[in-house]
Amino acid sequence: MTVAYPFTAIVGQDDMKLALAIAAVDPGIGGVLVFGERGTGKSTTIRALAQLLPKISAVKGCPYNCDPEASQKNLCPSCQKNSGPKAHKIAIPVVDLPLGATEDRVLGALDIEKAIHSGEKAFQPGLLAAANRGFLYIDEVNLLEDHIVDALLDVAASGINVVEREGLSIRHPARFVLVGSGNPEEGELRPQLLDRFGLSLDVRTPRDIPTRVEIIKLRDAFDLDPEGFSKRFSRKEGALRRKIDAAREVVESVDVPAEVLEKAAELCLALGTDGLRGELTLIRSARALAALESSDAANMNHLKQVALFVLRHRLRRDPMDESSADARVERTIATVLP
Amino acid sequence: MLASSELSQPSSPELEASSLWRDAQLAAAVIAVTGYQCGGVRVSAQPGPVRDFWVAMLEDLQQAPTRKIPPSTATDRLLGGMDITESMRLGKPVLATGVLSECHQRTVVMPMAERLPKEYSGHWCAALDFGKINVARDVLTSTTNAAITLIALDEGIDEEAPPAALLERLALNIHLDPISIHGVDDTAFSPSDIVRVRNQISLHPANDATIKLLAELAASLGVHSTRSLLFSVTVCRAIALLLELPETHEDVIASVIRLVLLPRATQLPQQEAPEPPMEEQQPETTEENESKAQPTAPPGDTEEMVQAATATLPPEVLTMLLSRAERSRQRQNKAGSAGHLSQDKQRGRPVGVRRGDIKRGHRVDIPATLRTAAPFQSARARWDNSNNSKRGLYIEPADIRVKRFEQRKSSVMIFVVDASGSSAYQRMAEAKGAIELILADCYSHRTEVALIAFKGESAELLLPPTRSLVRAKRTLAQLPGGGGTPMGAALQAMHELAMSVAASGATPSFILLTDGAANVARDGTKSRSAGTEDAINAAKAVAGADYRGILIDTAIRPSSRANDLATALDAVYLPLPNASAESINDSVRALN
Repeated sequence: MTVAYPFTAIVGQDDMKLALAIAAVDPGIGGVLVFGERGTGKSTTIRALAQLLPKISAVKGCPYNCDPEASQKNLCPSCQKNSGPKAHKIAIPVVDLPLGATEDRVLGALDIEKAIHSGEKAFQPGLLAAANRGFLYIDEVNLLEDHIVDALLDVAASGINVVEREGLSIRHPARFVLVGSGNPEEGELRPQLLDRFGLSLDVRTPRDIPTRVEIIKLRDAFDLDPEGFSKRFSRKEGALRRKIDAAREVVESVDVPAEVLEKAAELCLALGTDGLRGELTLIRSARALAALESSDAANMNHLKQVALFVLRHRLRRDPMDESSADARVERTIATVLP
Repeated sequence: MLASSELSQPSSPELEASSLWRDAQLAAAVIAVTGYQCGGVRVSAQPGPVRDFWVAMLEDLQQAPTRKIPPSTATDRLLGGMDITESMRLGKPVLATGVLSECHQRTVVMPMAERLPKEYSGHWCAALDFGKINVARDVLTSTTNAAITLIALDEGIDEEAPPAALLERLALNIHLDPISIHGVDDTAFSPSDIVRVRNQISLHPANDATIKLLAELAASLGVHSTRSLLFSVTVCRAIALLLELPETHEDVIASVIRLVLLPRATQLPQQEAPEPPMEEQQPETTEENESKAQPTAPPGDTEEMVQAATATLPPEVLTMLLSRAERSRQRQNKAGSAGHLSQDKQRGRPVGVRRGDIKRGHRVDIPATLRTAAPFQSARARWDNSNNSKRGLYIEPADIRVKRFEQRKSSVMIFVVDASGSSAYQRMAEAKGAIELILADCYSHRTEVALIAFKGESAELLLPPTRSLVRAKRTLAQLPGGGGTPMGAALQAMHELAMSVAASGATPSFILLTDGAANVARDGTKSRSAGTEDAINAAKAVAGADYRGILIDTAIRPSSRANDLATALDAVYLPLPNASAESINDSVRALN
């Protein structure tokens, strides 16, 4: 296994790091979409996140990483039957959905080997099963084939994967945090898929010389000696991992005061975002950020920091307004949250 | 070994060609040393002996053969998939290795790289980025090593180029066309030089001063990608070791500029200093100006270095690089606007097969369906308890594979007709005549048409996109007239329709017939100034979306109003009195 570049050694790109950390704290926020020009370190940052995630407890041998503590209806079919499951600790799965993946592999299909050898109709779980309770990462998300997007959309919304094929009828939990990255110049993202992401951001390469020199120096040092380099950052990585882990523990109990709720509603109203999802995500993200900063309650500052990530991809396009979505959101944030 | 003094001599065609060849030799040596780490080389050249010589020289330097892979190699061959015959023989799924993993740690030559379809370039980029590929196909998941070095032979003429995402991942760029076969030799480096530098390079971490210098150069050339900067640092180190010069030696830096940075430049250092910032980019000026306002490097030094580096380039190569820089700057400015998703869809994309349903009128791909069903035959025979011994193949609905066609992209012509009581209406008959001409042309191009009319306080979609030109003609004939000119509302209605057309996958274009005398604002107030302002704002939004269109001025005396509007719309302006049937048809053909 090759060593991935450490998350904490990434220079700049603070927005991207913050958004990913927020998504890691509360999977219910719905994932992160990172769009940006070439060579900004999108993939590097996202792949680095995998090493930072805390361990979770899962049923031993369960292909869907079921939570032993979960209620009966949130378990996969085999764990439902199985009383007294054995639990073990696993790393939170980060599953790569590569370009060119086929539908049977993503959703799961009949296990050919078992079918041929023993004539048994067994289900071979796909990538969505492997990503349950973890992250599903799609690099070049805007180049994903349409029929794969169709398959993803439903599962991402319902958290349940339904497979009806080859005489199999399977329902299994598939709750994952969707993380996507792409370059907008290479293709547009279907609006339905865009809507599945909780947070979205646009990254640019840092333009100032000292930062760029720093990036190159670190990257060069990493390329020459990946193991040694990672060791240098292990303390920092550990600290951030513990911070995320602690935030995951307390996030449910972080208080969101009424005035923050009000302001969140006001923001969404002012921007005319569709539906309640924007508002809900706004509140959950502010709460996750508060948990990361170990505060007991979310405040206006937290709300302000997450508002752009949450809202920028939820605006209705207004053909009369030439300014970019970001400018509109920033303007509204400035008026609503002075 | 190259004599360092040779690199900076005054230029003549022969000298320029020989300096190009020196760059090419250097690029071959650098890629032989760094291999996968630098991604590869983009070789801009037509097929010919010089190009063949260069590839042979590279093979000799790295002491390994290259492998040729055509750009049309499809996803299933690139990544691999289930090997049906082996799987059936062994009774378990067997993965057939894809081309990319077969080429692990090898050098791949891709001829006609400008023809690489965008949907395959993602796989190449993944291999170049991570040195391995994830495969999740045909019930198999695996990660295989695929650290390839790619030599992209770019034979593109003018605008043709390999996908930008691929070029970004190839560190080096060389041009061989101006070089004559008599001017080439392979004496500069030997395989033993390569081995020596390969051993040295991993011992040398990058030097701070080099990184800083290259970062400043990159900034002055408008090269913002971190990947490009990283490449330039690696290439610089390799060149310095190959030539046995210090990294910051002017010859080394000049080579890095020519091979790595200049081909990616979006600006030239001297452009920035004397000229005011470009005027066209109004929408985002504030941000742009701010970032430009703080000069990232003292322009003087970098400018001189770039000039010294370009001094030996033949003029045609320099011109080409500059036009590429210009194009990529325009692309950067346009990035994010909605219009440009369509282009590559027009060329018939090779699209594969997918799971499908017989009932929905798809065309079934029989070989693919049989392939899908094949592994299950023995198992299904066992499950079959119908006792029908004569049964042949077991095909289940889930096996059905259908062909996917990407039909030639349809286009929709949106007519926006001014039916107000102003002078526009006086020439309505003529306008209708012009439209009928256009409709005939649309018919021959199988273009769909839609009709929006505006008068009084609002614009109305009279005819949603249809192929029925008879209906279009009839609706048009019955078009009533009179009232104010709500131009802003009309343009907004047009823009909304165009967006929905574009979202459905077709290409919208528009023909606006008006005298340009807007006098009703979007909110319905009658005011010439507010109406005009609304119209111009809406027109700019339309122009931002990049739809093609024509404005036909129907005023009796054509005025600047309609012309201004056409400019704001970025549309072709045709005043009706001068517009003959031919000139209208010519313009429409340009749209179709």
